[in-house]
Amino acid sequence: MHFDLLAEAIVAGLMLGCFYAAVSVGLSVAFGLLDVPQIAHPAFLVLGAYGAYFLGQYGVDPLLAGALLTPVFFLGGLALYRFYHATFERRGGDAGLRGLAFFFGVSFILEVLLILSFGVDQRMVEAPYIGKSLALGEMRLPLRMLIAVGVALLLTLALSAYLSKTFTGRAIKAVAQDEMALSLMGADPVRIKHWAFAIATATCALAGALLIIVNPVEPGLGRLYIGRTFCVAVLAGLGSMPGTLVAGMILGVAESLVLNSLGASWAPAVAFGLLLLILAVRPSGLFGR
Amino acid sequence: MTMPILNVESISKHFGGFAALSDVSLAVAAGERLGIIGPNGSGKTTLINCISGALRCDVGTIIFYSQNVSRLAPHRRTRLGIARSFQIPRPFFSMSVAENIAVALEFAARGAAVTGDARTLLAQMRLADKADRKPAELTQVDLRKLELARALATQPRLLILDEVMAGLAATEVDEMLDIVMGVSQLGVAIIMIEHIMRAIMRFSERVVCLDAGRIVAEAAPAAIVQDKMVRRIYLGA
Amino acid sequence: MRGWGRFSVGASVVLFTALVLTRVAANEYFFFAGYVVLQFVVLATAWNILGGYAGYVNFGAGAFFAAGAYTAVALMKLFSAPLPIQLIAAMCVTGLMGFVIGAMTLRLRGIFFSIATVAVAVICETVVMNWSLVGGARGTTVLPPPPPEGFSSYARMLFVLMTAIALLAVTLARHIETSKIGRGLRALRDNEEAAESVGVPTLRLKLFAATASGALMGLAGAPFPLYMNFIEPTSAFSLNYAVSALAMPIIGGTQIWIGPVIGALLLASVQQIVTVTVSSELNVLIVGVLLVVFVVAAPNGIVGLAQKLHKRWQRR
Repeated sequence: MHFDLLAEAIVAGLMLGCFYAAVSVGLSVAFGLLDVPQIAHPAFLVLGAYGAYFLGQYGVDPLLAGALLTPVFFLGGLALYRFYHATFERRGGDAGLRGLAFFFGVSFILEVLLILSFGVDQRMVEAPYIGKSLALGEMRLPLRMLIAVGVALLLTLALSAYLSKTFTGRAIKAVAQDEMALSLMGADPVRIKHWAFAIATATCALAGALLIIVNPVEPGLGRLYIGRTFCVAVLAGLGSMPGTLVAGMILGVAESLVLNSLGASWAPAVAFGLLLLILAVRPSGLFGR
Repeated sequence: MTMPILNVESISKHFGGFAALSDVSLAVAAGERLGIIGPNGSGKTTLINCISGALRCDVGTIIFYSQNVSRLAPHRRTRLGIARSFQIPRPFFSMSVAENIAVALEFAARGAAVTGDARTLLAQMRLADKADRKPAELTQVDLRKLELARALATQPRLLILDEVMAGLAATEVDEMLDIVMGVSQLGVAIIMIEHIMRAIMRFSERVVCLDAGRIVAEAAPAAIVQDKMVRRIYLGA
Repeated sequence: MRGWGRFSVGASVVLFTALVLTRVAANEYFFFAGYVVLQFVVLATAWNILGGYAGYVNFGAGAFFAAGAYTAVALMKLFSAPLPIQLIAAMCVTGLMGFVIGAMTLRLRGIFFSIATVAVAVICETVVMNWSLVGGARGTTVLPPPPPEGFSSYARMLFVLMTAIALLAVTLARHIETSKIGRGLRALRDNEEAAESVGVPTLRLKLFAATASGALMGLAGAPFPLYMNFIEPTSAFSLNYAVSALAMPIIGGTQIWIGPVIGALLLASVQQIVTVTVSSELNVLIVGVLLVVFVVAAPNGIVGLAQKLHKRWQRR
């Protein structure tokens, strides 16, 4: 590949990767730290995207929409986890199967409700930064991708700081490692898990807005992102925030290179291929415990 | 000792940067009763997992009856005669007590009739009246007995018990101890991991003490309680 | 083999009835609808061998179904292969798919197997879209040969064929369930580590279940091109297959062979009615909602509810 094209592909891939990190950070918490089979995470991203679209109809900037919807998603996450925990997180042979089937059903219902509400056509948003690019030497960097990079860095740094500096944050990391010890220290593991899952779901509001900023969305988009988000979450090393950023960028670059050499139809397969590769070679991920 | 049936040779196991086991060597003779003690986190369960095959040790070998089993899957080691119980009982919840035993008999036992022996085994454990109940309905003590019965159903030559008496009342401990001694009479070598010193003292012919992934003492029960290292670990002095 | 007496009689009766119906029934639509219902019986039963018996959830049943269909089409285009060859080839291809996915992921936690099935579904669809032999994204027509002796239309013959396939699937499922393999699967489903520790060769059993499940799902899809006289990716890979394959056993009951059958008969019939009278999106929504309701409230499905009612009746 010609050097200029290669450089462009890599830069585009890095930006794309930051975007992937932003949309996966919630899963790193829900699945990575809490071990919840949150296969509906991409569906919540799409929901967030449509939320931004809906508010966009009233002239609200998508990023603002994402911020506004964050508390809504937070409460939704609380409710969902309460339900999930009460129904499924207990011992028993088929709790795993049922939990997984439950989230699959939820993601499916979300998708169909979106189809019924908005139709199957693609939807977009408008904003001053969409459609413009920044010139850097020979390359043109789309503004919306730079926004994605900004949001990704914001989310990962904020969550990383939260998890290591605050008491609740550290408790969340602790609950992932040793629930018993945590409860002996006076913190209620169940409440902590509720909180963590709520945070994970809340990220989908802003990340979802990012989704529609970066590309048009349609209700079935979630399925493509199952591979990408789980790939990033697993490659990161379950629960690692910095790892999510790095993993996202690796995926982004890989996809970008494939896009430029083999074409668009093969790009979605990259995430899955990479995921399968990591699971075969190093299931604990890059930064995993 | 005469030719040991189990030879654990310099095994180590790491989890990330954490060394759960470092250079651990152990030998068990046929029919021997070995006790393993040590504080929480010293690597006792990791050791069992490496011997039974639930984990693969990073370094070292495990020889059972002159066969290198280090790379064998757990179910193969069970078929060769290594059985274990789990610290927190793991019954098959959707099956009755008798069916739990039947699985072990069907898949591991070498040449035994299937359903008939399940009832005999249960009778020995004094669980016969609960044969058709589901594990969810059993008491702690009965769950432990089921765990033990299921392990025995695999007709082991080496049985490893992971804190099988934890949390039991004094009379229940005695009952369990009687059952385990009875198993020993059948010629089965037993490794017992316990915190209850009374049980260790009564049961073991030899005791090994683990701390921070290493063996720090190995002696007869009477001598182990005198050992300086052991005293320091348990009493801080 | 115990208990096969009544089962064999029942199976024979079903097959005989199907044959008789092709002679007697006048309404052609009945056979089209019946074919679809029977197809789901196969799909649900196949899914349950790995999902219900072993506890590993396949989200990509659509891909296995479509792979079976496309294998049949490819053989027709390349070699004008007769139907029996198409069926066997489809089973081999999808059985292999199940085996390979299993070999790659069944050593890991269940969710990774599930994600891998989504992956394979996406990859399969991509491959097919780019394969000109089978028409790519636009699809291709499939002209059926003339109906064999004794059948007034090819559709009627396919109806009987699907009946036979359904009986095969159900027989296999029942055999697995009542055999040593089934008991081992149940043990590993309840607690995999404990099952290993009592001598159950968990990986081997899981691979067997994944292969058998995959093969049967492909078999369900193999006659599809001849049934539709056309094939194109969007309908072949329809998400409805993936969700239905999962929902039907969960609604019917995952622990016994008749559960998926009940779930399929019920749900597929409802779907036929709703799609025609209301809309296909609403139909899919109903399936999704029923899935969640049953997973939460009636984990053992209709069979489980029936068993509970029976026990309560007995206690009176």
